[in-house]
Formats: sequence, C-alpha cells, structure tokens
Amino acid sequence: MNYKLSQYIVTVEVKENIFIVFSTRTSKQVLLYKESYDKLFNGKFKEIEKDIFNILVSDYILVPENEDELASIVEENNHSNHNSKALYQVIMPSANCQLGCGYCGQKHTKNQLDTSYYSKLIERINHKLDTENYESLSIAWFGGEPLMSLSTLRELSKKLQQVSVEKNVKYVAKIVTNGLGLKKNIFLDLVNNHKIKSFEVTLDGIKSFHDERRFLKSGEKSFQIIFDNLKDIFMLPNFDELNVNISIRCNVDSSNYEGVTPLIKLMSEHGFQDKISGFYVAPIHSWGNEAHLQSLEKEIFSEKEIDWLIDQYKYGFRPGLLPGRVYQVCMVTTPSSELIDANGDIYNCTEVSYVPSYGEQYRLGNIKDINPTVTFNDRPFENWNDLVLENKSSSPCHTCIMMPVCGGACPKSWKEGNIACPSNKFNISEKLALNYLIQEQGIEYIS
Amino acid sequence: MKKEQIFVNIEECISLIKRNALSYSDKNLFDIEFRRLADSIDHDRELFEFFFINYHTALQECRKNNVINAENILLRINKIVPIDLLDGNEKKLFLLVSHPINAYIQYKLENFRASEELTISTMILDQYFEALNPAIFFHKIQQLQNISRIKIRCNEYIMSAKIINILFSVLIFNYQQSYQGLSFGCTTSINEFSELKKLMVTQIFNEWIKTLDNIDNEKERNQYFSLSVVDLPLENMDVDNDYSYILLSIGIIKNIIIENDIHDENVILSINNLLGYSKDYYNSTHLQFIQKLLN
Repeated sequence: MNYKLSQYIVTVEVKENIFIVFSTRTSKQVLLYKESYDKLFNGKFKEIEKDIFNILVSDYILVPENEDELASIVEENNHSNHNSKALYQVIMPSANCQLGCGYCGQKHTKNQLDTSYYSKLIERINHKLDTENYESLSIAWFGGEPLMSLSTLRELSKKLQQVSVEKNVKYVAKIVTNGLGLKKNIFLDLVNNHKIKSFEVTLDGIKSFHDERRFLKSGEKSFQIIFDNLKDIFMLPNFDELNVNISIRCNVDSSNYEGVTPLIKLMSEHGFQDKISGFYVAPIHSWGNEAHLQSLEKEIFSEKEIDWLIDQYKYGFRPGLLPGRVYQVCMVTTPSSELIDANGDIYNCTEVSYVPSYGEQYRLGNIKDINPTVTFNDRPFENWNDLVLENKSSSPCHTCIMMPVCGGACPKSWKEGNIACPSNKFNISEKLALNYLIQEQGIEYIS
Repeated sequence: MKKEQIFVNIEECISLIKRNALSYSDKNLFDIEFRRLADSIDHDRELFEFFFINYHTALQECRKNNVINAENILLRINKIVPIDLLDGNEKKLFLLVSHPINAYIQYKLENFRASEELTISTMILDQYFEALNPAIFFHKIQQLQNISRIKIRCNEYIMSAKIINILFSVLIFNYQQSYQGLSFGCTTSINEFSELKKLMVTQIFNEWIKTLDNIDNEKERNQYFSLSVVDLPLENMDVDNDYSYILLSIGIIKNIIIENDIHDENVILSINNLLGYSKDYYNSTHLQFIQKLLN
C-alpha cells in the first residue's frame, strides 16, 4: 500500500526543530522532531520509525495514496447525519423578546405557540421516535426569548418528558436565553422540573458596551440584571451538585470588542471561572440584515481571539483551544431535526424564523396544516455535504483544509454571499502553538 | 475464632492485594502473538498493517462510546481494503481482525444477536488458526467470555453461568469442553503460556464475581454461582499454586452460599489460608463479596 501526506493537515514549528502536525480529519496532533518531520514532508514515509508511522496512519496524517479524502469526509458526515441517535427538536415558545438588539434580524411579536398545536407537535415527535432507533430526545428552547412564554415551555416540557418515558429514550434539554428572566427560582424550576441541563446566556462585554446594544425595548439597561441573575445562581449552595452547564456567549463587532477583556476580568472577580462551563466570543453575522457590516475583519477578529483566550487563562478560565471534528455542521444536514416557532411554522434552521427578509423562503410548513407523519422533501441545505463534494456550495469548502473541523460553518451564509469561515481558519496555527506552550510550560508561562 | 477475626483476615487480604496488585493489559500479550501469527501467513503486509491500525483505532473509539466515530472509521477502511477480493488464509487473517471489533460495535449498539454471530465467527477463525499459533486459543477463550457477556445483556444468566463453568474447567483443570461445536482444551503448548492463562482466569473470575454481586435476587444469584462452578472439583487442590487462591475463594463462597455455613472452622481456616497464596492480578472484588455474604 502506498501512502500520501493528507491535505488536511496544519503544521507549526513550536520550538526549534520541533513541529506539531495537526490533522483536521481526526482533530489529533502529533509532535515530531525535525528528522521525522523532514522525512514526512519529503515523502520518505518508509524511513519513518514504525511506531511514529503507525500513529501518522491512525491519525490520518498519512493516508492511502488513492484515497479521495474529501469524499471520505463527506461520507463520514452523511453517515453521522443519517444515523444520529438523538432526535433533535428546537422549540420557540414565544416570538417575543424584551430586548431590542441592533444586530438582531428578528421581528418580534407577542405570539406564543398556541396550545392547539401541542398535540400535533407531540404526535409528530412520537411518530419520529417510532421510525428510528433513537436513544434520546434532545430539546432546545430558543427564541425570541423562550422565557417570555414560560407557561408554554412548562406545559410542553412535561408532555415531552412523558413522551421520552413512553418511548424509553433519554430526555435532554437546553435553553438559549438572554438571561433577563433567569431568576434563581426560575432557574431551579427549569433544572429540577424541566430537566434543562445546559444554558447559554449572552453578555456583549461589560456594562458600558453591553447596554449600548442589548437594551430593553423600553430603553432600560439589561447588563446588571443578567449579571446579578447569574451571580445569584452561582451562589446557590447546591449549584455544583445540580450538574448544569452554563455558558456565556459574547457577540462581538467593531463597537464592543474592547469590552471583552474587561468582561473576562469582571467574571473572574466574581468567581465565574469556577462555575461556567465555557465563555466564547462570536463575531456578529448577517441575520437577514446588514449587521455583519459592523463586524471586525475576520483576520482581525481571529487575532483578537487569541488575546482573549490568553486573557481567559490569565483570569483562571480554561477554554478549549483546538477544534474537534465536525460531522454535523448544524441542524440543516440532519433530516430528522426541526424547529417549530411560536407561529407553528416549521424550519430546519434557527436563523430564519421571524426574519422578515426571508419571507416564506425557508419555511417547510405549519404544524396546523401538515400531517404529523409527513417527511419534508427538499429541505434547504440538507444536501450541503454533497454540494461541498461537488463544488457547488458557493463556498471554498471543497478545497479548504479546515472543512472537517468546520463543516462549512453556515450553509445559509454562503448562499447569501457572506463568508462564513470561523476563526479557526485564520488562527489554528496560533492555537496549536498556544496549546503546546500551555502543555509544555504551564499556564503561568502565558499568564 | 470469632466472626470479627474473619473480617480482620479479609481486610488483611484486601490490603495485601492492593499493595501487590499487578495491573494487566491483555492488549500487548495478544498483539505479540497475533503478529507472530500474521508473520506466518502470506499476505499483503502493508495493507494488513493499515487495516489493523485503523480497526484498532475504531475499537478505541468504541470503548470511549464514540460508536458513530468507530462506524465512520470502518466505512473508510472497508472502502479502501476490499476484503471480498482477498481469499484463503489472507482473507481469514483480515477477518480475524475485523470480526471481533465489528462484534463489539454491534454489542455497543445493543444488536446482541449480530454481536453473538460475529463472535462465534471469530471463534471459528480462532480454532482454525490455533494450529499455526497455539496462543490464539486465548483469543478464542476471550470470545467465549464475550458470549457470556452478551448472554447477560440478554438476561440469559443461566447460559452465561454455564459458559463461565466451561471457562474455569478448561483453564484451571485442563478439561476438554465444547461450545456450539467448537472445542476448548488446553494442550501442552497452550499451557506454556502460563502467565497469559493466569491473567485470563483472574480476569474472568473478577468480572464474574462483580456480575453476581450486582444481582439483587439472592436465590437466582446463588443458582448462577452454583452453575458456574458445577464441574469444578473444588476439593482437589492438586493444581498449580497459581490457581489455589481462586479455588479457595470459590470454595469459601460456595460454603457460604450453598452450605450456608459461616461458622465452620474450615471456612474460617480457609479465609486465613487465602493470605498464603499467590494473588497476582486479582482485585479485591471477591473479598468484598465474601464480606457482604457474611454480613
């Protein structure tokens, strides 16, 4: 068998004559001394020491000469998407939100998911659970702001938990919330009674930055309310035993990027590093609007992200640095995944509901009109991986070495002519080097 | 001797085991013998190496419960290595790698019938290759133990116990036994792998006791235990010192469970005697089990 060097690798010289070779196909990295590194890159594979050679093969750094790597990657992605053991359902109980964030593309209304739709939704989920051998029912509460219709959430949650018991599948739930309504009693109710074990809350920098853009529609500020809610939750005496993941997301553009480091520092001063499961910074993207025009240039964002990661280590956080293999770019590629919004409309993407500029473009149907057992054909972007393989995706993913750890990031963005490449595309080498330094020298070295 | 003294002796045993415990990895021992087998067969070495490395990567993923990752690896391998185009001993060699790992993946997916079929297919290949390398016998033993695990997952505890009885009687007493038309017996050449044999016996014993300990229904537990030792002449201590410890331990458990005798001087003496025998590779599961029975 003859081998070739995989095209899906990133290499960094981390020290003189010491190299990291990272495979994006497996998300594994190998440390090589110059001698082995030179043999690898000069095609002298058979001269490489056997143990190292075997690792290079098992980590997909050396691959069979005649392997079509992209085809293999796409096949793996398709296999994972079509054999998922989790039935994933996003539910938007409310079309409303207290906030009037400038970058939000949604038009909010007071609509809540009508109770008359509940039974059809349950019937649909029941039907799906019957058609495949699922191990879990995974519910994501989204919005708008899901806590603006707590009664809907509570009632549906109970029914969904009942379904999971009847179908003998695990029940997993998460919520994306602006955090305004996340008082500790609500939090405890969501955790204890509604099995929500994963929370994502947004803070767009410290108060002075956050309140410039994430203010209530009434004009009031929101940062301190959200921050205090989080503090109260973290101070619950049994918080650690609840085994809940709370992550904080910070949406960044040119107007608030300077608020990230102060936010990290502030969170650290309040002990958040010991409580949250993660903090991450996300560039503002187009949400059917022109919000992305205020974003930092991708290369600049990526540079700053390295600084923010170092800041996190400095202040006691432990963020993950290296990307993992991405088989499912998002819910669009998993045929069984759906979103139902407060109007009963069904989609296969979280970014399109309530967005006026999309009209009916991405709507699959409405729960009140469909037969609950229907399978939607021609779901947008469901064939995304095949489009990448055929180089018909309007993206550079066909030849991009980061494709295995990115998946294409956002098919819709590419369709709209927006570059969706995540920061790893631009700073993976720095992340590899940083990871090496931390492993070899310890966190103190970079602090 | 009072009951308290029994517990003191058991605690002393547990401490000794923890201090002297030899951790084992069966991976290296099997790999060495497997390589020896492969070297004796005419085959495409580079292709086999690729196949072997990647199948074992899939196995590691499966062990970490990343079954989809494992399946993805196998999808790739099966595209690159066309097993169906191979034949003869070369094909059998490749299948000897793939069958047990595919069996494990099916086990993880809870497709127990498929897992059992693949495991039996593996044993058939093991039996074929034993002639080339007697050490492959232990791979066959390992597959039989896997069948007992499958039986437990299918709630067929009686069948599982019967398999454990086969394993003990073959490995400790060199009996000839059979299962599904496959023969199990330790030849002289197999007995030369004494360390590997000891390892396997210990591992089977440790795991079986843990299984029994998790059974809530005492009557059923006692029944399964009895079946698992039914062919063992426990009074016959004329065996290698390597197995005296396990026979003594089984004897103690049998006396407590079946004879319901915890006061007999012989039982007390037996527990005391445990201290004197080789305990390599054992963990303290069986001692804690004995403590529980005595309570």
